[in-house]
Amino acid sequence: MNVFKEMMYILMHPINGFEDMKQYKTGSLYAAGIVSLLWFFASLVHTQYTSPWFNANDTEKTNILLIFVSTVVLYIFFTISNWSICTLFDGEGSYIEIVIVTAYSLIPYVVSLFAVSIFSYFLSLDEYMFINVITSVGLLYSVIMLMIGMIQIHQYNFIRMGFALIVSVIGVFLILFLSFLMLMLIREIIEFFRTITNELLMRSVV
Amino acid sequence: MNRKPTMIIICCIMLFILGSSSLSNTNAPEDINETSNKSTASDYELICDDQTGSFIVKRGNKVWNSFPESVEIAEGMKGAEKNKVRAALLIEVVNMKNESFTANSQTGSVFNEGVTVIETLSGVRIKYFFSDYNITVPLDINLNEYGFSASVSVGEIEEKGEFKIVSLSLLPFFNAGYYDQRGFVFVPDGSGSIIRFNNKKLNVPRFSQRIYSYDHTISRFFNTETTEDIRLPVFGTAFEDQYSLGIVTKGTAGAYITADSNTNLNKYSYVYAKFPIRLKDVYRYINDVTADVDIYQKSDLPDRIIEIRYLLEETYEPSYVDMAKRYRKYLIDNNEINSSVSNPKLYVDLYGTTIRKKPFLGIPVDQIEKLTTYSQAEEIVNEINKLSIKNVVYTYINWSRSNVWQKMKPVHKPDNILGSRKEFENLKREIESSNGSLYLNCDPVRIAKGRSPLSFFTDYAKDIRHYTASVYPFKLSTQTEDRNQRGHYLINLKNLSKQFSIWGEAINNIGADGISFSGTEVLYTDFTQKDGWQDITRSSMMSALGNLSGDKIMVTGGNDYTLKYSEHLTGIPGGSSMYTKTDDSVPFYQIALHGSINYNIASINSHENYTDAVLRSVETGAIPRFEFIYEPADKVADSMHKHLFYSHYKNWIANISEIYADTSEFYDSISGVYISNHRKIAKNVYLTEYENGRYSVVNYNSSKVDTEYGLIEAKSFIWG
Repeated sequence: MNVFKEMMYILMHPINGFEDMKQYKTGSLYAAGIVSLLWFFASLVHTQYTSPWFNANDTEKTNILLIFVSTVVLYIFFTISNWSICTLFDGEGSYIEIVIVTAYSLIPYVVSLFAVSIFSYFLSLDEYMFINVITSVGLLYSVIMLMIGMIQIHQYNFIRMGFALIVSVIGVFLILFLSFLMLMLIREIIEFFRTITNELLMRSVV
Repeated sequence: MNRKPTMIIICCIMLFILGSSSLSNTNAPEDINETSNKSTASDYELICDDQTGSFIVKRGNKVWNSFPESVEIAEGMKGAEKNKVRAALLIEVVNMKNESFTANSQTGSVFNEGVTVIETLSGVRIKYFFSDYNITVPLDINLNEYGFSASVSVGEIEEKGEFKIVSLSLLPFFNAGYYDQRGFVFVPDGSGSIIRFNNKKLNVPRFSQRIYSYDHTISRFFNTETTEDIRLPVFGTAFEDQYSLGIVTKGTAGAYITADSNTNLNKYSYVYAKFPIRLKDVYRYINDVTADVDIYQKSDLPDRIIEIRYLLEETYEPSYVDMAKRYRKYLIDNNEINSSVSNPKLYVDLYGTTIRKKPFLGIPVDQIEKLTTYSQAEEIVNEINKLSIKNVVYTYINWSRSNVWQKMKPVHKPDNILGSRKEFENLKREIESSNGSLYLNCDPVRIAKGRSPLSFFTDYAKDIRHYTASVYPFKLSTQTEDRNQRGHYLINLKNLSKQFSIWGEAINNIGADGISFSGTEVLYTDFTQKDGWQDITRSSMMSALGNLSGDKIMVTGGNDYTLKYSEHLTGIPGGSSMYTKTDDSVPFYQIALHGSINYNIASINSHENYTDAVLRSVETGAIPRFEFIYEPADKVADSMHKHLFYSHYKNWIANISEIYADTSEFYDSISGVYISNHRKIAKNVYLTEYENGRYSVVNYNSSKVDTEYGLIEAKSFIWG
């Protein structure tokens, strides 16, 4: 209950909330985990259960793995990237703090996703802009919270925070690139053994 | 005083000179030194020239030349073309540098005095020595009761130099027609097509098609045309008062049938078969600029025979109907057809399940989609029974899990997803109640990729590089191989027969009335054996089907080697590929087979035009066939059977009732009766006559036509 109260406080007063969180080390890692899973769940509901009027996705071909990658995995990559960058740029936040701040900042966006999915059943097609407004507000709120959170935990000024965030995003792409490279390498190794097997097979018969 | 004997002697001498001069007209060389042969079992006589190897086959006064004699006086043809016409063999050789050369026996052998003629028991053996390539090919000509056969035993071809023979064409210009003669060339493309002499299609490539279909284990990167396959290995030429019919009897699978009407260079219309001797594949370096590499089969010439039987007949103004009737007689005489007609009224294909991507825990995976359960099938049968149609043949496709997944298993069982055993028995009872029969479908030949990993090493056919061959569908957009779709392997010859019997046994145990085989039309070379070739697969399929004698068998496609074992043929060609070179599509297949065997063409509801499909069935004497699923068509969207979008049964019951009302009596009256004639009586109007006097006239035009048989409405038919 304490955690929930704190969360609400942070949502309402992000500057003070994050400052207190950093000072008294009150943030909950479990809560962060739950929020990130909720994000995944919200995206799933959004793609699968938004009313057909507003849903451009082919719900029969929804791939849960892709949604997982684009939410939870992305979140993990961002935290890793941000931690690596901020360690280099004299950031004072610990990895756990980054994880918690990022998760808490996601809350408005997650709520907007749920809200949009529900509202889509009550709105007419002409009122499509409301859906856009809700998601945009949610996203904007999340981004602002993330910025404030970063300023607070790393003790940055605004410009440094902006720079750190941009580099973090580039870092996410770098991690993605490296993981792709890794996958390709593994595939090459498998292909190498496959070729050897093929060659043996072709030579073995007569 | 004694003038009489002298006169007789002079007369004899004159007659002799006359006789020999007329002979030397038919056989050009002056110094005729011929080997004559008269087989006792045959009415035919063979006269062969020792020097050139050219021969004539005589019956009474009628003479068939190994090449058209008029070539000696033909105008507007160059010498080289004339020599090609005179040749009895065309060969294609390669050297070690993979350079390919072609030669004909006239310039390559006869002109270099490389011909040896040896008399044999029922004919002659003509050995052609190609001095440029150091290759000797023995061509055997043997008389028989139909005419003669031309064959080459591949094992006896001698290759002494670096050149290796890769293909061989026999008697390319036998019975070829001169452009001013009235006649045609028959090719078995689909149901059959004819190419008329002098059809003036000069800028069109000649007709060349592989018998049956392409070789599935040889790489095929593109599929640029949709054609009807050749089902019967038979071709012919007809003009004036005679026709010849060539039947490829040995080395059939893999041979090409090549035909052309006369062109500016060559004034003759011809048809012949070309046999590959060594198979060739192409290895393509993907993602590499290295040029493709040709790979030839690495083997000595194996002991096998290629043979064409020529049936020679005299008749006034021969037509394709005469040819088809002759071929029918040949099939019956040689016991190559199972003559049993059970008079079915309708064929219905029911699809049990299909495979479709459906989410499993949110991840789309291939899963089974139910299309027609046993009780739903019973409902469909009940609906058809209500129309009081008796004797319907039902084919249940994808009734078993291994069927739809294309798995190789020791035992096959009905899929419990479709219903219980009891429901299946109810379905059978419902079918029996109207005298119908139930066939269960299976495909013992094609096995889906990735289903049983260990079999990859032992159970599937190999390609020319001894790697397990896999076949993929082609993309409709780019016509290239689509490796993202479900591919399949082909069973190797060691397991072929076993798979046929496993499926046969499974279906018999379930108590179905018969077995419906798909995949018997898929022919391939299994390179597991060093000297494999497609024809071995053909004979393996024959023996596999032969092992199931006693069972009622339905086969898809209706290739000639399955006729002997089949009770029903499904999906036989209803027309030809309509090549630009060919002039007319003719129902040769149907004329040859109607009355001996039950058949149907492509299903009526799959046709883009329902009325045309019905008319085609009536014209060809084919029994109507429908493909049904019980579920609405959206269940097959994006599935393995997405082509079945038309097949929801409720949309078609009214049509069945209509067709049945119109045609039931007609089909009753022609069941088991041979077709006696087929001809075009007006534009898009065709007459089919039966031996019992029945006939049908079909009008494909969109306006009514007045014929001698009565007025026929647009897109309609009459029968009597």
